[in-house]
Amino acid sequence: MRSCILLYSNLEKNKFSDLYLDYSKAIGSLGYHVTLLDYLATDFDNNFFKAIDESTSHKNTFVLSFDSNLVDLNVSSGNVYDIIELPIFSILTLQVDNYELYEDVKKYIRCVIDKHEAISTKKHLMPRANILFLPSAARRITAELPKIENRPIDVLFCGEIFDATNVRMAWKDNPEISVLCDNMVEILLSDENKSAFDAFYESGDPSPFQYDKMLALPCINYVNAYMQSVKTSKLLKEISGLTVYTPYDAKEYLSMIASSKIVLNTPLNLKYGITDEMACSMANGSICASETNEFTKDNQMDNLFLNYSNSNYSLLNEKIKEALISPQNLNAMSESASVFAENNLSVLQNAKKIIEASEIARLLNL
Amino acid sequence: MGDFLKNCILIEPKILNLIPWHKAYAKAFEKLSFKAHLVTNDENFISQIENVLDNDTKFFFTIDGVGSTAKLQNSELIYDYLNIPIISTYTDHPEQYTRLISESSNYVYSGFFDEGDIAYSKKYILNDANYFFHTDFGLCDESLRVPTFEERDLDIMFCGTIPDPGYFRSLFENINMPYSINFCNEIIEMLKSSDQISLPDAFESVLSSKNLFLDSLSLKNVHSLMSTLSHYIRGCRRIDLFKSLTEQNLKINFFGFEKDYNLIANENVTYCGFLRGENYWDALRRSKITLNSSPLSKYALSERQPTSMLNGALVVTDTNPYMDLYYKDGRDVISYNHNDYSHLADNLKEVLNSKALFEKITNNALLITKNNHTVNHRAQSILDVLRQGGAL
Repeated sequence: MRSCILLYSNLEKNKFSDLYLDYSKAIGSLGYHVTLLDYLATDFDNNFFKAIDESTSHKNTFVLSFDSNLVDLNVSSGNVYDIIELPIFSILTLQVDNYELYEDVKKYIRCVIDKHEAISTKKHLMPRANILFLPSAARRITAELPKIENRPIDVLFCGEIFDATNVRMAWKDNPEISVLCDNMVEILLSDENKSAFDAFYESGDPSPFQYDKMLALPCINYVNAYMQSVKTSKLLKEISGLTVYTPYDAKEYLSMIASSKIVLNTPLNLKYGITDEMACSMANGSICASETNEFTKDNQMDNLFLNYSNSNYSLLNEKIKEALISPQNLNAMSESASVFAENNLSVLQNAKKIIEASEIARLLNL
Repeated sequence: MGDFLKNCILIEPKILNLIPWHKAYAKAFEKLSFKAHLVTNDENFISQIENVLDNDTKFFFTIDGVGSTAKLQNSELIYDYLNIPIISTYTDHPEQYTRLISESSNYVYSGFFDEGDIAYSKKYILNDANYFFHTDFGLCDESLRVPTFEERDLDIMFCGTIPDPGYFRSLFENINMPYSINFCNEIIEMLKSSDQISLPDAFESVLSSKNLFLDSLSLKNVHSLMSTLSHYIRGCRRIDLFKSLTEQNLKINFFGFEKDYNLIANENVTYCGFLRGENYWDALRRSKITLNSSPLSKYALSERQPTSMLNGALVVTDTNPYMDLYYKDGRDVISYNHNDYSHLADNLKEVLNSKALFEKITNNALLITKNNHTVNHRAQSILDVLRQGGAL
């Protein structure tokens, strides 16, 4: 018997709000018994420990949560997962933003969407962390995908647009990180290939470990948000005929994507990975307009989306306009992208990777 | 014998086969002006030490960590209390000594015969410890003349174990976790595809291909898994080596366990029993060729190689960059690659049929070994390590 205890909450509505159901189905389809537990429910503690008791006889059991929720579940003698020797995976849906430390929880395997971040974190920030690189999962809203020409929205942009000046003000108010963040921005503006992680460690003098670990996260978050907002506002100014939409929940988010011919991806902060928008637009047969990175190149994805590089946004606008003249020509790309997403980026594929990692963790008695 | 400048204390090994090595070290330290006091790690260990300890005692020496974690009644390590270092050289892979290594103090210096073992210990056992490279060396009875080609009545000998691949495979196949079995198989495939890659590197590479980055010091079962996989690979490689040679009608004399012989038994393999102590040297002196197979050694000499050479046998071996620093294929040894045995049998037949070629190669090997890989060289390198550590 194999089992998974999946911890979720319905409190917050956003584009990831149904993700736990998708993982529950996928893990269940792989022969695992899944126990779904709402960690905000009043009887959670009882149900959790009951599920733990039932699963202790199973050799292959793991816990799955999202955004590091419940990783720090402690009793008086220490962390629950370390005491009962049960691996806990937590899928961090966003890059860095909700990245808690919890390095002392030995059984914790954090699932991050950027491999570069995984490697940098191990190298510079948390050498004793356990990390699984899990690309953003491609979720599909419907089995039958409409033809591109039948989709009502021409170009969709899903996401919030932040004011770069406000973001910068946030770190300017904090003397501890102000100079560091300014230096990081300089580094990133001079070299597009660097990540905020790289910039943080380059700003360290002489050793990045001189900085408090807790300092790295706000710096990286602020600078990522700043760079993203600068690039996004520049991009949005260049692209004509945009529908801008902030997702309310997963269903609406995926429906909007499936109703769009082209989905405009936010400029990539990820150095080795893809955004959720990109994965989901591919899964739903929409044409994604995105920058390339090492992940898209290594996976030979660059003919599966409208790609652009070097922040050449006006050229992208021309590409989009040209594509929309004869949208039926995009159907072949749409079909290839959805097949690729299904075979390589689906929740089912990610569930397999988590199960594989949980078995290896068991084998090695992590 | 009255000219000793300093003292050292040697702790006797528990394994009988290691006694000659222990005695050889004692003699070598004395040649280097250290009076060697011998003690045994028994209930009188501390009183034995008290009897020989004085202000000139500079270090302890042990093989395989015997006595290296000895404590006083207050649980303090003896060596910490005395402020005297202990050198421990290990004859096997570090996964066999995890407890000893993890309990090491700053006064313990651990010597491994393969550079790769030091990297392994740092990564998976204890990063912050005193490690040094201390590869194997050869031993022989120096009072005896090296026998001639004609005096050697055995053509080819192999002395060692043949781990049963079936048994070691069953250890990871019976765990009922398909992804884990696949993980082990991928490591094995990687190791089999190249003689160059080390087991820890293959392990890390397969983990990384799964985008999994784990805390190496928290992997409690990593040592037993590595041990299982290394036994499996060693077994497969040695069986393949025997097969490739006996299929070409070469006769091999096998010294080892009977259960191991059963894994390689055919009409061209003769079982010669289990060798102990000095009988081992006698067998080397009776053989023209000794086979060595150390597929997971990445920067090391294996004791079999220099000891065979000092006893005048021709060494047929897999190789590694450390070995290549000293011995050249066709000049000093006959080397082979585990993925290509195609010329090996012919090379062995040629040397068995040519006294001149045999003498040329074995004389070269003997000279190189005498000049570089005897107990005197290793004893000197131990003193160098202690000096570098400020202990001498």
